[in-house]
Formats: sequence, structure tokens, C-alpha cells
Amino acid sequence: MGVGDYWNPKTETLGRDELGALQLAKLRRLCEWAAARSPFYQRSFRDAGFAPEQLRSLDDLRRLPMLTREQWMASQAEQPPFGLLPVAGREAAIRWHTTSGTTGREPIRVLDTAKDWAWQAEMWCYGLWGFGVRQADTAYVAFGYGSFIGFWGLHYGLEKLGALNVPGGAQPTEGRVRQIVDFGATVVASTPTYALRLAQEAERLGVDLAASGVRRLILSGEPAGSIPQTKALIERLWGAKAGDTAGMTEIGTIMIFECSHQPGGTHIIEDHFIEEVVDPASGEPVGYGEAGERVVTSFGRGIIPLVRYRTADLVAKVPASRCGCGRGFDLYEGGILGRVDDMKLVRGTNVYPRAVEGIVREFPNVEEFQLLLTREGHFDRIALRVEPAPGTSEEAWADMAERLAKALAEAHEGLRFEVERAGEGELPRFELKARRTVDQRDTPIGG
Amino acid sequence: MPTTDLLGRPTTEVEDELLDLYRRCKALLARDDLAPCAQAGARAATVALWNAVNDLGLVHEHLLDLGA
Repeated sequence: MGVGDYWNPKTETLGRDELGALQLAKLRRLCEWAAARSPFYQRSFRDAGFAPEQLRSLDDLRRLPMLTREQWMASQAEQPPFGLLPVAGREAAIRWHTTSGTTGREPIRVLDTAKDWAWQAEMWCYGLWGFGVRQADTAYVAFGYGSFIGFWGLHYGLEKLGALNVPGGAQPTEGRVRQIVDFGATVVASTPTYALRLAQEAERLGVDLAASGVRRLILSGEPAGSIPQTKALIERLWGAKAGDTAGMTEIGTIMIFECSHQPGGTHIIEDHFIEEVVDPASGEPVGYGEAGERVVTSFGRGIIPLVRYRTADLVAKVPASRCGCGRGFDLYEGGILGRVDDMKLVRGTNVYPRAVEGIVREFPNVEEFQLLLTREGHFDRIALRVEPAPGTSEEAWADMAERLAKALAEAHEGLRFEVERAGEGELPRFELKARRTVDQRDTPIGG
Repeated sequence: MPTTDLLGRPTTEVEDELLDLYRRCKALLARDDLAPCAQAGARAATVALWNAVNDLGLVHEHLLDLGA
């Protein structure tokens, strides 16, 4: 690859030792900053007996205490509305965003200064450029532009690299499909779920997306962007390449992206983040290829220093050499694999929603689906509720349901999934993060 | 005087140019006699250059005290 294939050739092609030295230099400054200005870190560093001058190598990172979402929430409760992590108040900021609230919990509230906000767009530029988006592109952003941070950074990243940006905004899916075609979009940004929804709507409208100008889809917001079957379906329906990315409100932007080589994983932007993978129970690091919890340290957002934040994302890191693009950045194989607490226990069998989706997406006639867990007496039920494509005959449905049930059982030690037909439009549709697993059991998992 | 990046490597001519511009923009932004339009422009320019010098591993700092 040539220099022009990287957004930042200097650091994207650093060797591992040099990258580690850069991370250590930034980590020292981050800890000095946090220790000097953040009430939260002043307390947590003191409680842990940590001082920034103790950082002599990256291994010393483990001297630092980890931060949990619960601690962040408690801090917000202690000092509303932003808690004790920020180093300044709202008067220093230009943006206020919150987490999406899809889990029904109290949202995390975040602030950004002008510099922080520009840095967030910069991180998207690493990903956009790495997947091949260029100035000549017309990019359509299928995003509602609300208080959820979502694709805001992508929006400004597109402008920064000089692409023609079409903000989709709040409008019906039909309107978005028509604009994508009418405006000659070559790039579309959306969640994986919504990319499928747009394709379904296009089919209903008689629009052939594969014949449109769209060449690249930038996916984010859900793990599905790296589920091979879901990704393959999206790429087939759009006749375009789909690149996965992932970020979070807590850092304000993306920290991983899939490059144009599509190596089956997402590169970590390691000159701006330190990403650790730990055993969720012990907190001890796990090796390459082993699944564990993602712990992030971010160098970019000055107003809210983030040191060793436990994300509850499940990932498996593999070395940079796994990809032939020449970047020195390690990868997460399969992107974000799910959440540490995603796994459901049903009659002694582990069920992972990601694995279920992988099977369901092999059936192109599935319009929407939902995994419903209920308990009757002492018996757990697991049902896959499926909304087939409009016009699916009873005969075709019966055949599909039988094959689905068989495939699911074979993948889950014989566990019987009840495959039920849902009415047309009965299941919820999602524009942002899909919530397709509904657990109505009233006792804890495994309880 | 030769300058080095965060890895201790000598900076290039282009990097020196960027660093010089960045420092001049910061100095401008620190002044208290700028018209609002000039201050906003200086802030935007400083932030833009910050991203470049930060990406290139030349400087790692925050700009909160300059209002950015």
C-alpha cells in the first residue's frame, strides 16, 4: 500500500515497539492531566496509591484502577448532571450528548470542548479513509441527529476529508431511499439493522439498490456489522462493500474500524487509544485470540479523561499481522462480539444472540425477527419470532420455520427453539441500536 | 534548535512548519484583544492544527485553558 492509503501514515505504520512508546508518552500526559484536574481521578488515584510518575512502562498501566459504568453513574448522582470525572463544567463545552438509553438505564451525560469535538471527527477520518472513502464521494448519513452521539462524528469527518455530505436527518425510510438514489450517493452510513431496513424498503418501492451508485456502506452502532452472515446479506442487497466500525458515547467517537482489506476484523486506532482485553471475572489480561472484556483508555477527549474504562464489550484481539494492509494496529477479530452479559442460559444451554442472528441471516426471506425468552413454572421457553417477507405463503413459511428450528437446534446442543410466525409489521423496527432479544424471565440468568 | 517528536525522533521540515503555525495560533488565541470574529477563527485554526500535530505525535496536550 502507498502512503495515500492511510489517513495518518506516520503512526498507522509504526512498529509495535514505537507504537507502545507513543502510547506511554500520551498515557503519562493523560494521567498528569487527570490527577491535576479531575476530582474523580484525584480520589481514585489516591485510593489506589497511584501517582503518574510511577508510569515507567506500559505494564505500569495495571497499577491504575479500572473505571466502571456504575462508578460513573454514581459520580453523576453525587454531583449532577455530569459527575466528578470532567475537568471543567458546561461553560467550557460546545456539545452535550447522552448515551442512547436503549437499556432503559439512566444515561451517561458527556460534554465536549471545541478541540474534543474536532478530535472525534478526526477518529472517524481514520476509519472512513481506511475503508476507501475519498473526496470524490457523495455520502448519505441515515441518522436522526439527536442527543445520542451516534454518527455525529462521522458527519464532521466526512466534511473534513472533503466528501460531499448529505445529512439524512429525521424522515421516513422511503424518503431516505429516494434521496440515496436521487442524490447519487456512493457511500451510505447507518446501523447494520437500518441498512437491511433500507434495502427492504427499496425492494418494496421497486428500487434496485445494487444498480445504484452506492459502493460502500459504513456500519456502526451494533455488533452485526461484523457478523459474517449479516454483512454478506447487506453487501448482496446493496451490491456494495460494508465496513464495520464501533464507538461509544463514553469516548465520543469510534475506536475501531475495518480497513479496505476487510480482514474479518476491525483495526484499533492505537495511536489514540490503549485497548486492553481482560477476563471479565478476574480483570486479568487475556492473550491474543481469547475473548474477554474490552477496557479502553482514551487520549483524545480532554474534558472527560477516560482511564481504563470497563466497557462490557466482548472482543478477541489478534495481531496486526493478521491483516495485509500494512497498519501496525492490532485488530478485534469479528469486531465487537457482543456484550459480556449477552449470554442467555436456557435449560442449561448457552445462547448468544449474535450466533442466533448469524443463523437467521442465512434465511434471506426473514424481514425481521425477535428472540423471546419466557418462563412457565420451572421451564424456560425460547422462541424465535419471525416476520417473513410480505407475500410468503403458508407452505413456504412452514418449510422455512422447519429449517430454521433445525439449524438453531443443531447449533445449540439440541435446544428446541419454537419458531413462530409474526404478523406483517408486528415486530419493532430499529433505526439505531436494535433490541431483538427480549428476556421476560423474572429470575436472574442461571437462577 | 532541533525539535523532536514524542518518540524522540527529529521532526521533519513539514512537521516544523506545522508546529510553528500551531504555536503562533495558540499565541494569537491567548490574546485578550481579539474581536469575536477573530477569536472564533483563531480557535478554529488552533483546533485544526492541534489535530495535525497530535496525530503526528508532535504534541499531546489539551486546549481547555485557551477556551478550546
